[in-house]
Amino acid sequence: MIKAIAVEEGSNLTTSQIELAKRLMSERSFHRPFISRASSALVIAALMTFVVGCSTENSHPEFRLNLQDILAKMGQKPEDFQRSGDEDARKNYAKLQFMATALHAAFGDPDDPYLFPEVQWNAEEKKGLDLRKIKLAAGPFGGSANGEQRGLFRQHCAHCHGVTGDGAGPTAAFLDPYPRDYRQGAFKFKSTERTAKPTTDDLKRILRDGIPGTAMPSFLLLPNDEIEALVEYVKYLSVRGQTEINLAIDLFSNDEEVEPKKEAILETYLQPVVDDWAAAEELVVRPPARSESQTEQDLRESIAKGREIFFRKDAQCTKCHGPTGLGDGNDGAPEKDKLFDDWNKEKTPENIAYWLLPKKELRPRDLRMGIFRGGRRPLDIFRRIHQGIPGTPMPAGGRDEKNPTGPLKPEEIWNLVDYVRSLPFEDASEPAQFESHGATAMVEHP
Amino acid sequence: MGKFWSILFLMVPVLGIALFFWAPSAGYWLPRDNSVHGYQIDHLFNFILVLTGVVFAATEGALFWFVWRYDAATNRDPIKFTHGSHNLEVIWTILPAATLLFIAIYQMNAWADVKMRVPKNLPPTVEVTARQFEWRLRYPGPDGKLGTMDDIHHVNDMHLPAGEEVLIELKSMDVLHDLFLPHLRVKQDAVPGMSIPVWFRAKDVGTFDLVCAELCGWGHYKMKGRATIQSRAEYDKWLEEMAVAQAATQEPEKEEE
Amino acid sequence: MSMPSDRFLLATCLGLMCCCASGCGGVATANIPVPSPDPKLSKEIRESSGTATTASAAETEATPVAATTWGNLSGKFLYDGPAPDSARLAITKDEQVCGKHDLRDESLEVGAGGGLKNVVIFLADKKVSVHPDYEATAKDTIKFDNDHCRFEPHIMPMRTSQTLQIHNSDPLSHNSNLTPLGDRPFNQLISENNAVTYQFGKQQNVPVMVTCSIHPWMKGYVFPRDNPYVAVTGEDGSFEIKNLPAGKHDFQVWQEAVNGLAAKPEWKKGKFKLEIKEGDNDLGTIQVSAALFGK
Repeated sequence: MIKAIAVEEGSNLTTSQIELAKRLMSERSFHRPFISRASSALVIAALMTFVVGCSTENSHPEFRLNLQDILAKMGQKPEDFQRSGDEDARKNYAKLQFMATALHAAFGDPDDPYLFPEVQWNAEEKKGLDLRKIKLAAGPFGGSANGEQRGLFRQHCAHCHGVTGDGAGPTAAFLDPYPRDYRQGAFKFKSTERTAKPTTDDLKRILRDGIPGTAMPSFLLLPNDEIEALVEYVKYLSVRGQTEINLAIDLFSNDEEVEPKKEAILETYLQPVVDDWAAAEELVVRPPARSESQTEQDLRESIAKGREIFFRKDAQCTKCHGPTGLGDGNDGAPEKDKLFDDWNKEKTPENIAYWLLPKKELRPRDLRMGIFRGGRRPLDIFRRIHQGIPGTPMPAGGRDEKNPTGPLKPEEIWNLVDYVRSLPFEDASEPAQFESHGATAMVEHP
Repeated sequence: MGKFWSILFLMVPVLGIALFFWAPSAGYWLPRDNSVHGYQIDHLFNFILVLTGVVFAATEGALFWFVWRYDAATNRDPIKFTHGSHNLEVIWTILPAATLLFIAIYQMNAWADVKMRVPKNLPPTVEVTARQFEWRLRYPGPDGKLGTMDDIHHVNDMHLPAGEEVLIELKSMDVLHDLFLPHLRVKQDAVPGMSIPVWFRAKDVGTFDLVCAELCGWGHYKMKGRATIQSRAEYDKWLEEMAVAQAATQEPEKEEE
Repeated sequence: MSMPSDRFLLATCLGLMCCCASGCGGVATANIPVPSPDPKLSKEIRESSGTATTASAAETEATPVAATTWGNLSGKFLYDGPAPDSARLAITKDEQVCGKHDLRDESLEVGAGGGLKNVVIFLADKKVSVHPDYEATAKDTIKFDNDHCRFEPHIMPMRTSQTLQIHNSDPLSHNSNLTPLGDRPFNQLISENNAVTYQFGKQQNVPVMVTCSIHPWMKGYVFPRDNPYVAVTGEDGSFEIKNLPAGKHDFQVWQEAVNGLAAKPEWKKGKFKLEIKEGDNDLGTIQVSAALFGK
């Protein structure tokens, strides 16, 4: 280059100028050996870190132990694990190790899930988990040797729900509400009785419809077999998480010995959870039929009745949802009386450090938004009122043979359903929910 | 050496232009146009492509010629200095300006057709609300009006009638999104706080892509939907089925699979 | 490229690497050494067939040596310090009904004579033989009332075999929300003069908090135990547990503001061992330092 400049511009440049140019060029390239080498080494190192990234660590991810519940709910303190050489600490560490091993024995690891034959899907009894489907959803993202899609959970779900299904994936902290922690076995939006598990169809419905008003998107366009694999994997993670909590209660809270035997783990800690999931199919809430033909007059009357019930002191709807349904009923409460999900309520200043995510307030639903997280069919809203929402302050208010003193009779719940469904379209929702460009507003858009 | 570099650099326009000739035959081209207005967009696209293509070829050719002709190794001509050519500068300013002005005027009708001439007295077919990371859809229920209790709600799976003018009201719940229907030559930003009309007429029935064309967050890639263009009869049937499913007060027998 | 941009590069690289390194860490609960599963033992568990051993283990556990001699335990907790003011609760809802009552924070209450109220003292043994006198009440229904917009009693001990009846004596609906550890959660709306029942599935090691979400200041506790040996101190700070089997036992003391109440320095997390002799046993008067409550 220098030569080219010199030749081309030779006629106009003095020799000294050329020398200066040469010196400048050479200084640029060679006179800063240390910094240059150091920085190029760093650039390479940084690039390597990027390329290698977390892959060495994640190439074989493990399920995360549920320390949160052990510390926050089972009377253990971090010191109980840390004093080196202390006998209690050694004992606690051994318990943790046993828990990890027992769970590994019963469930395998994220890349290679396993289930005892006793809890695998039994078509006759309609019970158990389908290991074939679970394997389809498990593992790292990508096709397996036989060309089957694998790693669906890590592809679609793990970044929020976490590899362990603890609802604390890398993106979880930014979301409101937090992603569901499957380990607690509590699911808010389902068709079954409050304390029952959701049915398979409930989970499929959530995957397909998403949960409006939350960060849970719809996976409607996934093929059915992938949806089923994901649902089965969610069940697997939930069963695993609850088995872990059951084990931890006996090990840490009750200070029991657990035998390192399959039967001991299966019968006491695992089988009851699997039975719960199987029982859910029978515990679906089926509201009494409503007359099919509802005229507009009927609807208006029903809405008016529903409004009355909404304000009734035995229904108490307004205490959280507010007299106008804006979800502001608890707004005047002092800090300590704010509303929380059960798993946020348990977070106190003393134990907050043990939790995976900070405490987050729960807002009662603003009924005028027209957003219904658990589904907008009258049937869905009926079930929300009848059974409440598990894990939240929303209580079960419906009357049936299992809860004969429930304040709300089925017909009254239907009236409430109509009222709640009409709320987004009431006049108080100004400005109007919808403003058309085609039919009414003739404003030319710029 | 200069000759080598000039030929190497010549490969850029040669291969680039060759790529454009090869791509359509290999299927890498605009997707099939299934809209009535799409030919206008395609025409503009092709017109501008040819125009810029010619300029590209000419510029690259000139570049090549200069590198070839004035190679330092062989060129022995004395260096010449010039204070520029006023005429030349006027020409290369006016020519592009005129071209741009021409394009601006030439496309005005197409622009007005797809962005400004909102069809009057056409009730909206569907309200699309983009949010992180899905497309929430709302159809008028049996009463034919949007914003009433019997609206039909759905997500990601857009159904539209073929052969008639369709009006979409586009909204966003959170950040900027962009409704992109490549086969229908529709691409419109969704802006929070605005309701933006998008209208078109689809020609044939079929299933097409619906994607987000505005980086809207980490889950942008998840905003993939489906647009199903159906005959009026099928579309009405679908709407009716949706309306029935949405009014359910009893669990349907068993979901279809 | 000049010198400052090199420094910039350096900083960027270092920053980048730090980000990468911290990014891999994920969320951490507490700084606890976390073991990995033991693959050898895991394999053994999978292949084990242990029906016989669990049965025999259950047998040995199920038969505690039947006691023949019984003793009573009594004592008194006194608050050592100036009696704290219990804060008046903010009544933000249903003021016409709940606002009439002078509702106060009950997490730390000191009676007139300096007695520390609502301290729970219970037998923490895993298995214990129960005095025949308790048989009559083993299947009772225990009433826990929503009265005057508070729970009555504030802390209610009960046996897991007994049925919990949550009653509402107020002229409006309350709801009772409880999430016992490892047991069925419960949250039901209860209208005026009605009651709902709940059966615990297993015993708890700390009292279970009961809240009313409609009136969020309401807070009470239910304490289900397999055995009846639980006492809650009264206004004067005294308690009595009757008919304990004689012998050495583990006891635990709990107070809602601090959980395990280490009233004596040697009571780690409120736990202590005590030999119960036939007849009356007196724990004496225990002075609980105000410092334990951060006062």
